[in-house]
Amino acid sequence: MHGNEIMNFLFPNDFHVDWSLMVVLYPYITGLVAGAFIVSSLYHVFNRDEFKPIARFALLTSLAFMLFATVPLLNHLGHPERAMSIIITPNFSSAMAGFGILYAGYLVILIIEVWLVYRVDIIESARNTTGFKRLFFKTLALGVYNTSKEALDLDRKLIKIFAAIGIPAACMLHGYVGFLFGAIKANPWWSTPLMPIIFLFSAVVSGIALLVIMYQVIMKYSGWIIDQKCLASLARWLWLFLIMTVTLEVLEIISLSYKQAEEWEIIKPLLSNQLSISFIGIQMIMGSLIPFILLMVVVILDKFLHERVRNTLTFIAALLLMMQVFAMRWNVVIGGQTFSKSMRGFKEYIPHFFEKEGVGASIIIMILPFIALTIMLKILPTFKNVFPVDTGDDNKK
Amino acid sequence: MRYAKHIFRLALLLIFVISTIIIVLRLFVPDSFGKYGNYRADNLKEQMEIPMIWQGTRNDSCIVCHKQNTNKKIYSKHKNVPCMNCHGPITEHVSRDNKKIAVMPALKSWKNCARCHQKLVARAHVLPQVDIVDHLKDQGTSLEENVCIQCHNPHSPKPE
Amino acid sequence: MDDNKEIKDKEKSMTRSEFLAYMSASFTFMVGSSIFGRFVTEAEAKAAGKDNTKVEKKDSSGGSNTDTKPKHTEQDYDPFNHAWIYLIDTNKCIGCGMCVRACKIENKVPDKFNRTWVERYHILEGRGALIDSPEGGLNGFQPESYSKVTKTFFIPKICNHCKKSPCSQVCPVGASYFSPDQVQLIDQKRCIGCGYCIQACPYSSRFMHPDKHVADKCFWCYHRITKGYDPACVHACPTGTRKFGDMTKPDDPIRMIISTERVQVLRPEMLTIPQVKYLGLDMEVR
Repeated sequence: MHGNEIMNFLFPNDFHVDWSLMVVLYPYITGLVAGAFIVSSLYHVFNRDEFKPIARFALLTSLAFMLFATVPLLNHLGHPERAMSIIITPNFSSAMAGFGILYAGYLVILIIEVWLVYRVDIIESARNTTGFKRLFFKTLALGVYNTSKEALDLDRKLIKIFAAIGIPAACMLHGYVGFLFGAIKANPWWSTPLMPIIFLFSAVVSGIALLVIMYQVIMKYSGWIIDQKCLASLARWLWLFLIMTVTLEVLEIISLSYKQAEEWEIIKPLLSNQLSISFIGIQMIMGSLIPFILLMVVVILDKFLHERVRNTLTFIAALLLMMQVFAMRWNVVIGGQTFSKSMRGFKEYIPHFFEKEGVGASIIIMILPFIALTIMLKILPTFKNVFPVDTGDDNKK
Repeated sequence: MRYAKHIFRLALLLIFVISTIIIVLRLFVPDSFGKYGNYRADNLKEQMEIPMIWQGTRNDSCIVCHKQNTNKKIYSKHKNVPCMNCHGPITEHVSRDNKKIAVMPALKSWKNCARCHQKLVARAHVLPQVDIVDHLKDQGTSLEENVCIQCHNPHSPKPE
Repeated sequence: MDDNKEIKDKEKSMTRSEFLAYMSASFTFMVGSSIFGRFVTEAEAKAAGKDNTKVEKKDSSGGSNTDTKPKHTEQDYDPFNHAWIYLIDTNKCIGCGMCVRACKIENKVPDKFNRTWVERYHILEGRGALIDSPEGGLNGFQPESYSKVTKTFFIPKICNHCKKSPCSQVCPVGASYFSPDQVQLIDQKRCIGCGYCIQACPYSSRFMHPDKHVADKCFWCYHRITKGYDPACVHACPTGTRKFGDMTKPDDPIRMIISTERVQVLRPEMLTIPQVKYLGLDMEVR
């Protein structure tokens, strides 16, 4: 406490990083879920019509990642077969006990929303196919082939309602992840009420960045034309949320260092040694400063840039931001565990490739949502814009 | 309201799925859960039933068979050192129904003596302690496994 | 409903100990300063060559050499009639590590992990503290020589069995709980192995069991204390550093010490209200 220049003591039980790469992946995936959903809500609730080309895709992306959000957690649990206990006998004094309810509730909202948005397409597919496929689409449509104007109006209203409920639900789902860390008073690197907010904003950043990348890639592969208005708007929002995220992240560090409280004794060496590369190098400089400049160029010099240059710059910025958010999750989850609770020593964590919770497993888990997304894109015509959702609100503008 | 048929179907399906899940989950709640608090009360009983390995009393169980050494120890400087600190777990020696099953393991190494009697700055000075290497040099012996107990009887370490 | 009532009655009767716990938490700085003063005089006494302060009379309260039969048996044990308490008199600790060994044997604690451990502090002049705990003190301590050591001591550590425990608060499935007799227990048949409690414990008393894949920690040898014996570490302690008592028994010697002497807890700023009380802590101990 007083002039600790010698820091080398770890508590005997504290030599091991318990929350591994899997716990880094989990907030990353739920962040993508929340971020993508918010983009689709910007269209469905806030009538940002420039997002129309991507709104359905954002919803599907959200669902695809949501389906696999629990996989890293199940892989991490010591007894995954008892995982259901979390809803069978929840202990509501624990922040984690809300997981089952939040996750299930959000999943239901998401599925209903997707179903409502794609209902017309499902019915169309059911009409145009035969045999087993027809049965499948008929089941999906719940056997009702009603596409009258009244039905569609009702659908549109419900989509709006569910998208509106979905925003706080998405914020809860991801803010709760931040709260899990922020509520641990034993860990000075986690324990801050800013944590849920930082998690939320960076979730939106990662969600928008993922959509920017996926949209450009899919358009390129399919030979379709990129909607420049949509992409430019995405870049603007991405820039805004990046600024907010980084402000909050830096604010936390500054307030810690300015207060010079007990925590700073351990966080200072943590930042300057253990996290020097992943926090300062990757998260702050490569992941925040460079994309900030790139997006600033895109946003401010919007009219002077060639389409291709602008798209490429946005693409690079989005890639870097995906990395920034991952680095942020890593720095929070792993960084908080690299020092011992004795506040006097550090431990190492290097994930191996062939490990239960190693790099290989992480790559597989990260590929799964993309496979699901590909299948969903095959079944549901996402980029065809058959469904006239926007007509009702266009004339208000 | 005919145009809302698909919504009603969806709502019905949802209610059916959710209520099924809730009913099924209720079946899995353990019997004694919530008896005393938000935990399984039977676990208290389970924890109690774990058998003991380390001895329960200090000397009572030893004195039944080993009168001489126990009595010697009780009045020696080592009276507060439990027998188990040098002799291995009692469950390896005596069965539950007080039958000898094996030879009692004993720690005769100097390392066990050094735990308390190696000179350390942090150790209270009233406790007799030596720097083992120096002490052996003074006595003209070398460091062997059971070098301490050649001169000091652990049951009565200091001749009085 | 009856059980709830019982718990409430219990809480009413326990106000005294809770009051003491709050007192110890809120007055730590005052007590801390007084203890610190005690250490300075002790160091002086050591320098003067008459070092009788640390281990005064070995058999004062710790190991009586004629232990009799257990006070109660497993059959007549009622968890609502007990409130266990643990006292560590650090002045008496000689760092033999017998407690760690006893715990390893009794509870089959896996290698590298410790349910209880002993730390050795060397406080260096103006340079903070130098701490070591090789294997948690399982095999005792080796001699070390540092320059400018002002004071040096051993601190045994154990799960604090906090009344307002962060660990059982965060357990999502109710596997980690505070029993009616005031012991923090883990239902290892319900634990899902999420590791949240390990993150939440400010004392690092918990660990993930490498074979069972559930959280594990000190249970105060619940299977021993319910049979009327001391925990293994208390039994193995030759100097009476570790003491175990019952706050519901009016004539309990440990209760007398805690209610009359100035005791401390680890990390009082966390307000976890630990049930492990310390005599003679230093401010460098965390």
